[in-house]
Amino acid sequence: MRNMLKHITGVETYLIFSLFLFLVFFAGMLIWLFVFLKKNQVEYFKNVPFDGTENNAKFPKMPILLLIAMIISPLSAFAQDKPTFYVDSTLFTEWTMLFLIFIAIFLTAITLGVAIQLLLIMYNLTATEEEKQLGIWQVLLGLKPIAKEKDLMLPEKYDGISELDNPVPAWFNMLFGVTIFFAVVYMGIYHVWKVGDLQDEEYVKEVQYAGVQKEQYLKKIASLIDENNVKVTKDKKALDEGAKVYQINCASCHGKKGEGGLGPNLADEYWLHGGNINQVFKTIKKGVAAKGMISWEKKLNPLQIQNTASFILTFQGTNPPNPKEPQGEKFVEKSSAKGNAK
Amino acid sequence: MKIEQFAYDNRTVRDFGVATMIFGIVGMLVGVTVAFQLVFPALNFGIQYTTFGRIRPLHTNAIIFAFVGNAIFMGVYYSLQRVSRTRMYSDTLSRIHFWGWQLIILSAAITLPLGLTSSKEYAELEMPIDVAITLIWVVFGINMFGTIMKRREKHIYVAVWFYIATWVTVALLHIVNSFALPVSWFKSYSLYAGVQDALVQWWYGHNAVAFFLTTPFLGMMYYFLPKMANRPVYSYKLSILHFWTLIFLYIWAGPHHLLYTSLPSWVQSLGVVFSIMLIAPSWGGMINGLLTLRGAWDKVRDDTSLKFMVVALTAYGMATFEGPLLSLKSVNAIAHFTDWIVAHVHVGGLGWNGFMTFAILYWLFPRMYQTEIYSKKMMEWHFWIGTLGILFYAVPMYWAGFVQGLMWKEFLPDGNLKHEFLATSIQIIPMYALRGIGGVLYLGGTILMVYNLWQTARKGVFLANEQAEAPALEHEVIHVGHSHWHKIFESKSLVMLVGSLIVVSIGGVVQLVPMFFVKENVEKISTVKPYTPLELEGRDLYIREGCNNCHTQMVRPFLSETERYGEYAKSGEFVYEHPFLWGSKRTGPDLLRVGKKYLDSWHYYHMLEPTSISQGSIMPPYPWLFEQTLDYSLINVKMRAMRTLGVPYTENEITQATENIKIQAKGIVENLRKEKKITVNSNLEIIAMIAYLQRLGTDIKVEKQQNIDTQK
Repeated sequence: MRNMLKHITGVETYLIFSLFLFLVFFAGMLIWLFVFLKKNQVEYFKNVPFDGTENNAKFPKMPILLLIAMIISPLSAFAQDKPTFYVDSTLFTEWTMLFLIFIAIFLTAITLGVAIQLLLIMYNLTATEEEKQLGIWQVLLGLKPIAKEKDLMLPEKYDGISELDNPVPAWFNMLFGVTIFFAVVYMGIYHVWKVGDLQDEEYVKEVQYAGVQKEQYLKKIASLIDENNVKVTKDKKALDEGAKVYQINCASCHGKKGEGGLGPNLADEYWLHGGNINQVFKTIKKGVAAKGMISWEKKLNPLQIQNTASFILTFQGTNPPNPKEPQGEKFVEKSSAKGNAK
Repeated sequence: MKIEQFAYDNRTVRDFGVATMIFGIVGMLVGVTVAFQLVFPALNFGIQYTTFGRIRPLHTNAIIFAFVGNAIFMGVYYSLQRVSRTRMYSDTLSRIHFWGWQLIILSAAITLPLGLTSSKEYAELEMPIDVAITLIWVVFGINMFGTIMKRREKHIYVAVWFYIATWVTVALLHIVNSFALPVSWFKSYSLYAGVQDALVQWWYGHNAVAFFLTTPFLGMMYYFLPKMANRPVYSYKLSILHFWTLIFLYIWAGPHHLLYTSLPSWVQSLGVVFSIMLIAPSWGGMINGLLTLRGAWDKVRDDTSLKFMVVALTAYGMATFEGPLLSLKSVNAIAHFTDWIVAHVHVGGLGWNGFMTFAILYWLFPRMYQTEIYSKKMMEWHFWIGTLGILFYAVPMYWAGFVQGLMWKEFLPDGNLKHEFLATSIQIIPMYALRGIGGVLYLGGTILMVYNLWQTARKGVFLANEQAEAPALEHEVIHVGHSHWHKIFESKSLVMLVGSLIVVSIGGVVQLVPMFFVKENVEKISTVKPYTPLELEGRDLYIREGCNNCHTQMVRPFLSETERYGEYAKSGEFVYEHPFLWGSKRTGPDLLRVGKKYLDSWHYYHMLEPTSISQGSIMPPYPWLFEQTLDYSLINVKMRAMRTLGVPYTENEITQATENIKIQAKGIVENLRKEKKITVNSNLEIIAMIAYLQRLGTDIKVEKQQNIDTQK
């Protein structure tokens, strides 16, 4: 998880963004409540929806307010628990990450819905008569009543199409302004003050970070297995792991049953690069470039190579169908050679 | 005031409409075919002319230039006459335009499957066709400006501003991007190399979206939407603001197609910020459209044409919001090269272009045939099937994009990558199948429409010349002081033309010129050498087969990519790449560093039958490379052309080219024999292909070690 996260730089911004929306919304709400709302309206507002007065009818959707509390708690938990996203844990796969992002987006959507509901209520409390006729959406969009359209009609007509002289909506100008501001700051961060990392620096940092991670991990798994200390494992689970790796990576060339194909037969006694566990381990790890066997050092960890090598040796003597012709020298294990001598 | 009598030309409009429908079906059919080829590679029937790499460009070209292109001309010819209150300037030019454009489409449909391609996306057509496009575009321009000049309306309507900007910008983009040095009738090399070529291409590619798929459709929206809804356009001021800001900002955004590539960072950042600034101007068109419907929403419920329009506008709004988000580097790092981008463009293509085209067709045909639509029910069905088709297309592709993008980047705790590339593509094959079903639904809706309109035409009477009358335009002095300042642009088409040309040129000049003249923008790498003659021929085969449609040659500076593929790409590696072959989609793995990674025999078997090496691979086999003899008769001309473009081939290398090819080919044949006892003729195409693939990205390997040392 940690490794993956560092590749999606800024993935946490989704969460931060939803939190940010929350903050803006609640700050706005509080300001509205305490600065702009008239005192008597606050009184009025306090009473809904819990009293039984006729005012209640105006707020059919007030219970939604309760939802807010429910939403705040998980989201604020996000804020506190943010470091957990960086804790290395197998529980957190990319799917949980995606799931969390979706949850965040979902919650944000609900929040926005609630926000709109609240705004509607507030709006009904403060709107002037003319605005009430228009409805909140129209006011938010900066629209004029349709009845007044005639005054706005421009004189020219094109094939019967006329144009209105409506102003550019204020929110449109704000949106445009915000994006221009973003652009200026962005260029400033990366190219004027140079505080942001461009792609090459980003890469160097990523490599360093991954290096540290890997080192720690390898220390942790302790058994730094290499071609000198590798042992044949008989553990069934380990062999199953090895079989899995073999079927995915090796079977295309060496055959599903080790009978060979593009690569040599692994089920016979003839080996090109030696048939004891140390030699097989080394062949897998380093590869044999000249023969087309690639190096797996970067794709498999030492433990995986040990399991795979052990699994490969289980092919010995199985005589799979359609075997490839023997290659290399007949391999005789030293210990067993002694046994034969007796 | 004298009232003049005249007639609108409906015939050209109808013809373009019919062509729209025919090529719509053809383009979508090819689309559905390529979609299912990604699930069942055998669907190319083993024929080279129908492999994915060759017909994917056929699909994009057919949809963009044949389906959407004809729809644009249909809409422009109808609305321009009416808002100018005059017949088109010249019926002859209209005819030449119509038949010329269809011939261009026909030649594209022949040359692309033959593998005659420049490889540059949405500009694949070769030299002679490029010239024809330019000529026909000029014919269209003369016809359009002639019409505007003899108009009976004092001012130019907003729809026509967009048409003018479209004309001038497409001309500019097409000409600059198509500069190439021909070596034969149907083979040429881009004038630009590597990083420059990439920048020019995506300056073109992005603005083909902007000025072919967007501005003409906005213009059409400004005519057809108010007509359909019978409502005034919401805001004239908003029209002015979003028109000028849109055309000014759009042209800068091209580099967002090249984030995290070898393109210099300052150009990339410009691409990012201008994309973000595009949100508001893009939405300006959408809200001006949606607010025009204000007071007419009851009509939307009953009028299916309006329903198509509303979905089109909404899809436009979604795509133009998503686009800027995809331009943010952190999002782009996951989305780029995946199917997320495919989903994104199809929301625009199927939703915005497709649905608006349908709406206009449904509105125009009954009017031109002076009758009612044949079946309203069928129209309603088309709407729902089409909408469902879009959903079935987009949702699986988004999902496929997320999944694959994340799988590519996933590591195990031991620092190794978790997934082989093949595993990530096998994972999303079910999504490809679902997407294909979405495509079938959408195509089904279109067929329903064609039948419906055909029946409509059958029961009506075609009105070829629609009588109209209008007072002659009196020439008067323009009083700037009394009217809106913008009327200056609306009074003279030339002012509008020059104005938009200046506005769209700024972004291009700022980004392109420094890339050509400032040497520091492309680093020098001493070990990078030109291709050998055989590799050059192999590269041309790579272009012919359209390998770049599925394979990128651009390793980005992410650990997940350097671990998987090797050292990330440097701008200096591409100085001899005419054209660049970075690609834009990774259906298969990146090939930048594939050279010397596998044996020659690996490539031999893999090209012959990919699944013999990679089980489950969806790459099609290329048996014809093993049958066809390599034609290197043009090698001297090719190398000389490359030398003209700045590739340092010596005279000796050029004269010895044929010898050199034979020697290198023999070497590969010898390798194949030694490795796997393969006996193969040295004059086959596969040998050149292997030569090219084995060279890819190897030049830098020599220097890689030194680089790392100096970094430390």
